[in-house]
Amino acid sequence: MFGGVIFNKRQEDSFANRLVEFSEPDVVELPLIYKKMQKNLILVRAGDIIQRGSLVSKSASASAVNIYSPISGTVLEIIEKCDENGDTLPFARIENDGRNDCRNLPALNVIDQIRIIKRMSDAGLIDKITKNPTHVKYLSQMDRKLENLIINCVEVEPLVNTKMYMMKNNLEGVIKGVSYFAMAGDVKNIFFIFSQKDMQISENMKQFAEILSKWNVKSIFTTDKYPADNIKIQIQLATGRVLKVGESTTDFGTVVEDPCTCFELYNAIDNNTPLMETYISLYGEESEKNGVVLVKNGTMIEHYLYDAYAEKQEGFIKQIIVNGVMNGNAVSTEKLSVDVSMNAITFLTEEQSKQEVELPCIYCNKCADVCPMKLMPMWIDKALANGNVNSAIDQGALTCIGCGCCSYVCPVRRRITQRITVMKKDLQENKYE
Amino acid sequence: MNRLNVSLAPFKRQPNFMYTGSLMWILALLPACVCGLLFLDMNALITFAAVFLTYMILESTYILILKQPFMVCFLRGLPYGLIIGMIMPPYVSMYVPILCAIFAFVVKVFLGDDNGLIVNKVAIGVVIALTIIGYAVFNNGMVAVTPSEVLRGGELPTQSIVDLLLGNKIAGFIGTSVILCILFGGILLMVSRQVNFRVPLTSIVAFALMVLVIEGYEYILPELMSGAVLFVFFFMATDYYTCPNNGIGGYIYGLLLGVITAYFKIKFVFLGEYTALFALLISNLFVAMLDKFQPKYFGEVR
Repeated sequence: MFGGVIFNKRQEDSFANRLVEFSEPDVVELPLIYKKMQKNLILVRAGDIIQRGSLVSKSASASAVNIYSPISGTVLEIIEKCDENGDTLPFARIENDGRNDCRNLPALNVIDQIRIIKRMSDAGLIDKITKNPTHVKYLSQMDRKLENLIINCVEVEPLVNTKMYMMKNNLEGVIKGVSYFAMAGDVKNIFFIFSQKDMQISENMKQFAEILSKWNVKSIFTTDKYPADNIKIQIQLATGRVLKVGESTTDFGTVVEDPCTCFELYNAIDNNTPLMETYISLYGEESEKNGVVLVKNGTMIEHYLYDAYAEKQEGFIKQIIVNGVMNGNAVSTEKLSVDVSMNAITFLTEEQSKQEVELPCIYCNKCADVCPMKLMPMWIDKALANGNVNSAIDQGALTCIGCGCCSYVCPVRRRITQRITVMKKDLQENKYE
Repeated sequence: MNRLNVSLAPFKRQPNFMYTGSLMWILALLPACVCGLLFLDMNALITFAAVFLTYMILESTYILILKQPFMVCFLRGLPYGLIIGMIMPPYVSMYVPILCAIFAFVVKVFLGDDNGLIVNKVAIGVVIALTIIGYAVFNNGMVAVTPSEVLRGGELPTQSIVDLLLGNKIAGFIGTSVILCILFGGILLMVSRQVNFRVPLTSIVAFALMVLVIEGYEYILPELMSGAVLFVFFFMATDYYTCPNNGIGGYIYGLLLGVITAYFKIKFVFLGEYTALFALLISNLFVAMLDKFQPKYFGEVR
């Protein structure tokens, strides 16, 4: 199998099943483009009055996504600000008027492959973390055959519990979503991958077996070790094939979806609701509002921060992480907008966010033992620390999935994952000759 | 507005881990060290204290000069101080242990931990001292006849296996005669995952097989339990800097170490108690080559 690390999730799981209520945000700053590379046609301008569910930004390229307003109200202004990756993008600042009537998508009379893919595109479905439009994976397969659909139900990262929340509380919707994805891809096999601690959910799924009776459905149980939720590892687990460097998942005739996206597709088809809000895990030390939150697209993090820490003095929270503490991003301001591609927000105190001193490597080999990609992190780290990027690439630095296991276990606190992340970013920006 | 810390993932680290490794090594070495000293008299304690204190004073000065975090680096140096003290003969003049500690430290400073320390610094320090001072001085430090010397005479040691295991009145180095404590320390290190089982276990098996082939099965346990063999296999061969970093390399290294130790111990009589150290130094020379046997990483095309 692979290396990986086990986190004690028992304590953190205690809030996994809890839906926490927050007040409606007065103002949202809705992203009008999710990613720098995407091209969108912005349909609103300052002063416009819009309804919940109105299309505010229309996809204008294959890699872009439709964006809908999650609230009714007035567009105050179009601003430019940073997203969590540090890219400057346009955002619409919308004031909430409190009305809750929603403009839905037209109902689908016939549900077939083409219409489901079109609905994915229309509803603005987006892949978690990568922010790529979901329908693209299925479009590119129209001329080639897809075989396997993998539903990634493994939740092993600390302080992230959205997938499990969906599987426990919206199971029927998730299963229906899975059936729509299976129809869209015209697949033969559906693999549900669970970690061993979540065996019970697999039992619960049996009551909805009828919905998936047309496909070969198989449940696979993997370890509780992080990062068992990684796509490369899941494909190997389900199909027995190893994703080579430079290959994409669809080259394998395989697509991977997570339960949250399945539920969003179910909502888009059965309830005709476009993607405007999503479930995320919220966790903060000494906060009583830890749990899963239904977040409106574009709500600023400060809305949750000030509510959860109303009684604490300003400056108690020193670091805010989006998308999980192991491979997420630290954000520079609490004004950052939460978007539907995110899965977690974590608030860290000064003590938790303290950086420890980095000492020279002692070659204890612990990083190599836990690396799920079977790399030699200490050699890569040594090469990068000496500025030798070519040597690091030769040793497979580009295969690194950035899971952070090596940095987590390192007894001398080497910043291994951090160095590889910086190298990859520099490579993308052509900083090396 | 709140000033937020910005850094790169991961934001979670294994708690209090910096000290755990060093403390585990110290815990593994201490029983053998204490029991060894209990069986000996004041002279042994003075020798041990001389080498240990010299090494630790040099190490502390080095840490202070380089302005490294003192506690972490001091604790990391402590097992080396213990190891070098434990492979000293109990009855030697004061200058011998001090020289050994100085040489071990000089090797560390000149070759540096990070910049390719190719051989075990403790072993090379002792061997340099051995060459300069003369083997006789070290050998006379044992006073009584060691089990290894009896074995080289072609006989089995007079002590029973239980006596060897408990280190009951066994001549030899200060900290290598109580085999039970060494086994405890070795198992502790392996169970707490401070060292991998590959090197110690492969070398023990290879050593036993080699003895079986050359001498016969009745010699396996006495050979294994005498002459610091197990001590070197568990505590010195597994030194992080001079141990291969990959699985296959670890097995080959263990195999080489076991075979060379057994061959030297049986054939090179003049090496006496220091056989295992010489075997370790020679095996260390293969490590740079063994490090190249890296397994394929996920999805690698060769």
